[in-house]
Amino acid sequence: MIGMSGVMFNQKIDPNRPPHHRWSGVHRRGLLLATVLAVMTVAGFGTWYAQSTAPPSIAEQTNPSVSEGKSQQVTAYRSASCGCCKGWLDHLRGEGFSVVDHVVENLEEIKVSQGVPGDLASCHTATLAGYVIEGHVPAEAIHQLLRQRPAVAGIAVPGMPLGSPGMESALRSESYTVFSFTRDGSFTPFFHVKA
Amino acid sequence: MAMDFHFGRRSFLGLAAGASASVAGAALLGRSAPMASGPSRVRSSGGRLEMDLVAAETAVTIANAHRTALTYNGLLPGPLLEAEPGDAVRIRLHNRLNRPTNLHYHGLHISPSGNADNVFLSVAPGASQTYDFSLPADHPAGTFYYHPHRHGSVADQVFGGLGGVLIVRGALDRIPEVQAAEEQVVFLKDLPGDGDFGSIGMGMMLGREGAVLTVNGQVNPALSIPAGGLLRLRIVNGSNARFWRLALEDHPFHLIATDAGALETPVQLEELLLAPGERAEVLVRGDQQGGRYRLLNLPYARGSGGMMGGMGRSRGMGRGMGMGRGSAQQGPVPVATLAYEGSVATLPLPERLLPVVPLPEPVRTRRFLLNHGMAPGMGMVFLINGRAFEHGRIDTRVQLGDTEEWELVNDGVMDHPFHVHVNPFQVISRNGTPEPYRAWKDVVLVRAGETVRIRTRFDDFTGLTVYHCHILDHEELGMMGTLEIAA
Repeated sequence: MIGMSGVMFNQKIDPNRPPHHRWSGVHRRGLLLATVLAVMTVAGFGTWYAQSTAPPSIAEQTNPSVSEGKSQQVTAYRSASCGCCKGWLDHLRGEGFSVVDHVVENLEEIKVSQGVPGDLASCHTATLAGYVIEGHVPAEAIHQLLRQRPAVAGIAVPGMPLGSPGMESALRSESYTVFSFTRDGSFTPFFHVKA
Repeated sequence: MAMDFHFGRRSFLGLAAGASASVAGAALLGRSAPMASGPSRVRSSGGRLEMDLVAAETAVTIANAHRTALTYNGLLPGPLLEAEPGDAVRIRLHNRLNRPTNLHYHGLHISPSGNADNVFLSVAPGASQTYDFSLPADHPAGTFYYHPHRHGSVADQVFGGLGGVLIVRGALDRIPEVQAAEEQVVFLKDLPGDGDFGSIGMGMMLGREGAVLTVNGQVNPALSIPAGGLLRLRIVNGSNARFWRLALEDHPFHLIATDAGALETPVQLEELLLAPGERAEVLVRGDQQGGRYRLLNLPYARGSGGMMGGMGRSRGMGRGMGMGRGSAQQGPVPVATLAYEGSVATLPLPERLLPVVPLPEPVRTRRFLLNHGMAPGMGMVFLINGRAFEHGRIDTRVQLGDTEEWELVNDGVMDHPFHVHVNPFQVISRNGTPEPYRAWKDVVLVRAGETVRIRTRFDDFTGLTVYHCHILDHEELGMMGTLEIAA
């Protein structure tokens, strides 16, 4: 729990709120996106914990424990240096997804082409079964998406919440919300994760 | 340590012994009548400042909305404390929070040990701690900042509202032109909004920013200036992570003091950037023909500049991304409104302030590398020289009386304001470019990719203290080191 007293820090979702308009007044979109993109370039390097081996430009890996018919393929796009992106992909593999891992330099263009709202940007973008998956979305939320099959463009965890898959921290974990978003850029809470 | 105590209004009456308590402080702070359990301003008298501070979660009213916040004595910001060089200060801190806390006297040149500016003290919920120290007789005048500093809860407590201003009045205040100015504290704090979706995606990793921008605990309060007169703003950034980039419409700022005291001459600025923990004193001239002028907070990107800024713009210019957005720039946000009230004979700006004596050549140069990354067994951590903060480990040992130069290297992609306790420093250069004027600082912004050289002398006090990033979320996530000043 990061909240002092639970009153101000927990992101409680009120189902009676009108969707997405609550958040449409944020001014910081460009900054947030820019900073997230910036953060990812250092997460996992820039310290002496760095991994010096650069991955191949396209690495395809599948989880052999998952049968061909059941395995859902995630096609992911990230930058070469993004350590926490790799952590998220490992999380998905561990949950039985097969992963096609694209290391790219034009991540921003991919986000735009996939229709990821600027407010929801994180450090990697993926596609799965016709949906866009943005950021450190936990497998549980992806399973819910695949079960419910809502009419949305995708789901996203904006920013880089501590404790989300790939963003593990021994020091803290944060509550966070998975948002679903539509092609017109509106978004609404979809799944909530308590710290 | 936990003790039972009973504490109410009566205690606050008692505290007036050795200090003059005044609700008139509300005028200086410019806030509305608070739901407070004590005076909003406490001045030392007879060389003593003695008072109680109760840290608790209390009801507050901000922009006509009722909510709770973490407060000192029910006030947000906490009571304004005013002292003079040489004063003895005794503050009894009572922790009515549900987590440990303590007090840091940010910017004061006092002992880091015992019951003084000792950030290693921990005051348990329900417990109390008496802080006792004396300001040196030659302590600089300036605008200082008290706030919690208990590692593990500092960011939550500051983000939740805790903090207050401590003014030391001295030589700067006796300069006639400065003395003639109207005085106004401007305590900047962003608070989490209801549900806090205003800061969507802004978690601890980037440093949490709140959606509610307050000045002296109010949304867009009124400030006043007499025509022809001078207004002295004592500005404190009391935020967890938000940088405030201020500009006042049609009125340049005349900077007269930075964190730890006066400049030699005023410096005219069109805008003023303050990272968390930074302070500035500026004079504003009432030289317009009446009217109302907005104090604006301008956008600032805390990520790396050029490259990422470019990406942000390209995004805005792309498909529009729906919802009518498209501008990657955050627009200016009015945070206070200045109005003309009355008039006085035209007051001049001061030409000279106080000497800022250059420090001698350093006996040693050290390097501090700031960044973050995934550490084995730790996950995501923020680092100084590759290490996350660890209680009990001394990271830097210095000798009392030595002058040192510290090279602060940020090879990460986020800005980090670097703060050193106990002794102020002078910024020598940024990326090799000499600083345009000498000033006393205790927080310096080290932008992503930047190298800043500072010079400091370890004067008067031995003991253990710390340096850290003043984006307090980053401090909590490891970006702090322990400094030992040895005799």
